Amino acid sequence: MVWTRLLIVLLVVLPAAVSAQGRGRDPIPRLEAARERSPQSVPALRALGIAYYKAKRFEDARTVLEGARQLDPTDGVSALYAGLAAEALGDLTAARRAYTTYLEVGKTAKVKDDIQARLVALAREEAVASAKAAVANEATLAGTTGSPRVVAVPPLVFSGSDSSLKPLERGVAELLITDLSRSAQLTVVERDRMQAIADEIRLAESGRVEASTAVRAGRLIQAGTLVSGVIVQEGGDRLSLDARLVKVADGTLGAPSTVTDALDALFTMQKALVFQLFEQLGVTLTPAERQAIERRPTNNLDAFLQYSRGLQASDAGRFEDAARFFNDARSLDPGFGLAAVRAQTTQAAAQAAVQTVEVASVVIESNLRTGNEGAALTAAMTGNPTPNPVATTLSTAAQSVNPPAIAVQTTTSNAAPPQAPPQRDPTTSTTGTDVPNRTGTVTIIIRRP
Amino acid sequence: MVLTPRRAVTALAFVGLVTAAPRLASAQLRDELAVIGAPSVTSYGFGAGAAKRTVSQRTVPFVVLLPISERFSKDLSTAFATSEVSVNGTAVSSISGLTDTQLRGNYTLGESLLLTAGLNLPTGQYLIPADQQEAAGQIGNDFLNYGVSSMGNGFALTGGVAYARPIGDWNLGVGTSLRKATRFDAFEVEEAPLRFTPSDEVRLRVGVDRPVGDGQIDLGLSYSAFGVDVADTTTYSTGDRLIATAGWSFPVQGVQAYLSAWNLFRLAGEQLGGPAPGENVFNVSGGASIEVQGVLLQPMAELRLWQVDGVKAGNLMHVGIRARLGLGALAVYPSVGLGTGALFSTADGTATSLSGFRGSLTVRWR
Repeated sequence: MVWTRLLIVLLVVLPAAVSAQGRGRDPIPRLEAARERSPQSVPALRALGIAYYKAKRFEDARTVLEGARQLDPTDGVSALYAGLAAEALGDLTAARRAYTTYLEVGKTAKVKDDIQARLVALAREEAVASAKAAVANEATLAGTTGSPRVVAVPPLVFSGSDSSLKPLERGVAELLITDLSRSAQLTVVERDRMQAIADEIRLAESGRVEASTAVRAGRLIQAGTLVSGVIVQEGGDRLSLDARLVKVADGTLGAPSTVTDALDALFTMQKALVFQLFEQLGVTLTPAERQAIERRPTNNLDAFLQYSRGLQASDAGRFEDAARFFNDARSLDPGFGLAAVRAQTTQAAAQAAVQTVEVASVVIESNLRTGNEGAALTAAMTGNPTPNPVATTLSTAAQSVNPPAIAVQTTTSNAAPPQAPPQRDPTTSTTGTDVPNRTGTVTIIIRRP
Repeated sequence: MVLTPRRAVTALAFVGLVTAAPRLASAQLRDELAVIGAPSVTSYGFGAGAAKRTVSQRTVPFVVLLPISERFSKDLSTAFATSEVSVNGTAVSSISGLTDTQLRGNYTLGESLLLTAGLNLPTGQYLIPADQQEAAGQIGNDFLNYGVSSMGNGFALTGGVAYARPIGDWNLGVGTSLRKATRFDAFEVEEAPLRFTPSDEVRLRVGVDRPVGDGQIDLGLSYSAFGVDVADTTTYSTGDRLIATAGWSFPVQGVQAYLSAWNLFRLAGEQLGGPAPGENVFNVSGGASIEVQGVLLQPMAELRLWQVDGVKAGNLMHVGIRARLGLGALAVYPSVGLGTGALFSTADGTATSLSGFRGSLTVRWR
């Protein structure tokens, strides 16, 4: 009885005494002390950076995490949190670079999916931020002229009675951008950047659409040449594509390039038009470039119309609709790779549109925990930058030699645990009363001395 | 239940542990403090018609996880359980009450060594009268694996040590323990207590694990060597046990999945009334965790095969689903499962149908 009491005293009093010596909950002081001790330790810097990020000390987080990245450029988690911190600070370019690094060196597949979506959101945010900055600095930018080889293609203008063809404004512009980009001699402004500038000008003008918006947008985006185009429905199924080059510096127009044919020949017309534009731009294409341009993303007019509707919806910020249109296009022509890519990025944009960086980081962290990189997060939360790599192994071994008597799941793991093997019950094993489906009364006969 | 001095001390220990919890509230690891309740029902029916027997168990397990420091943690568990055997819907034997209380503590030394200790406090049911013995015995079956397999095993102490270290891409973990139990009054036989002294148990464990991609694979082997049990003055040895385990968890298409298997092999021994033949229980299961609108759904399937003395004795297929719902500081895990299979006579192979149901509602605070 004495030893029983002694054991109970030890079990109750000792833990309380140990707990009284427990340190504070904030892991940052401990991690800062760890950094002091080991300033070149990547785990120490990484854990501290994550802890700073979680404490919303974004500037501190970025500084420390960039230090970790310099020491080990292959450390994915440092790159990931550097990206999150940069994004929280509004440095979208740095965030994009850090995220891209994570895609290269990170190890958790689910987080990579999250980051892909985040990058789409960042690209849009960057385009908008860049557009705002350009409009704000318009006076300065107006004095500088972009190179004639920097080409922007705003949406064409549709003129005709069949309004269902109006989305071709954006679809044909997209094809022209894709084809012009094939030449190494040209720098073609991305569609999203051009659109962001145009949107920003319209916002600045309180919704008023100015006729010279495109030229102004071209100037702001530092393009030297603008492709100004028109799609004319000439009655019935005939269509005319007209384009001319505009010098952004002075607004002078080049000679018109026009092709006319049946609507069914849209893709042939577009190719003819783009080759005329190359000629006017003075670009000589290599055979490989010409061959690449000859390739058509689709030959299915219905699919292309759906794709164009997707672009229209996307530009209007209706990402869910846009994704649906792109998916429709892909269904109509399974080989329409561009539609598949747009569907994916637009779905990501739709998700990002309703997801703040805070919400995104919660999702990312949740997924990070599912992989081995989750240990870095645990390190930051517990204030221990070098968590025991064999902690789980040790715990499992202890659990096996000192198992619980009652089968209850105690972990918070995402994976449903399978039922554990049974433990021996000495009484029933010895008496044999554990045999199932035994009928009748169990009689225990004991030989008494 | 008679309040013996030992039980009084046990109760005091329980109170001491519970009152230790508020002191933990100010400690750094209070985030890891958790209280778990898991009301559950398990029921198996054998045969059909008027002879159909059912062994069912309703339990309310209660677990407290007490992280004392980064190095020291302990947990306390007990349960209230009601087990019943019925024939054609009429109860023929039942037992109800608190089970033993188990207190376990782990203390980590450095990164590689862990000391573990366990205390089995005899708060359960003892001196079981004749009309309750059938129900108390049936829940101990290894094949059916009820959540509470014993209503009381006497005061016992377990001490062990575990060691782990990385070897290349693998982690190796080994452990050993010794369990010593004291004599207790197991049954009431002819109005006198049947005193039972469980044998000492020595456990050895070797396991390895390693990450594979974003998943994890683990393999383990445990050997339990038992001495002799003493029932009154007669000694028995029911056979050592070897348990092999294997598990693989892995993400696939955004879903966390697992495959798991264990095999329990018990060597031949002896028991009351004659030899205890060896038995083997093999269990394989697979499942996945799928998040659907913020709720984690975990479907699973499980197959269990039982052999006694090398002869087919039973098979059981379970399918079930568990969900995880977050409600503030509470995590709630409702689960249901159905089982079907057969028991076979080891003498002539005659089959008896087997059907089962499992349901539980685990509630975890924090």
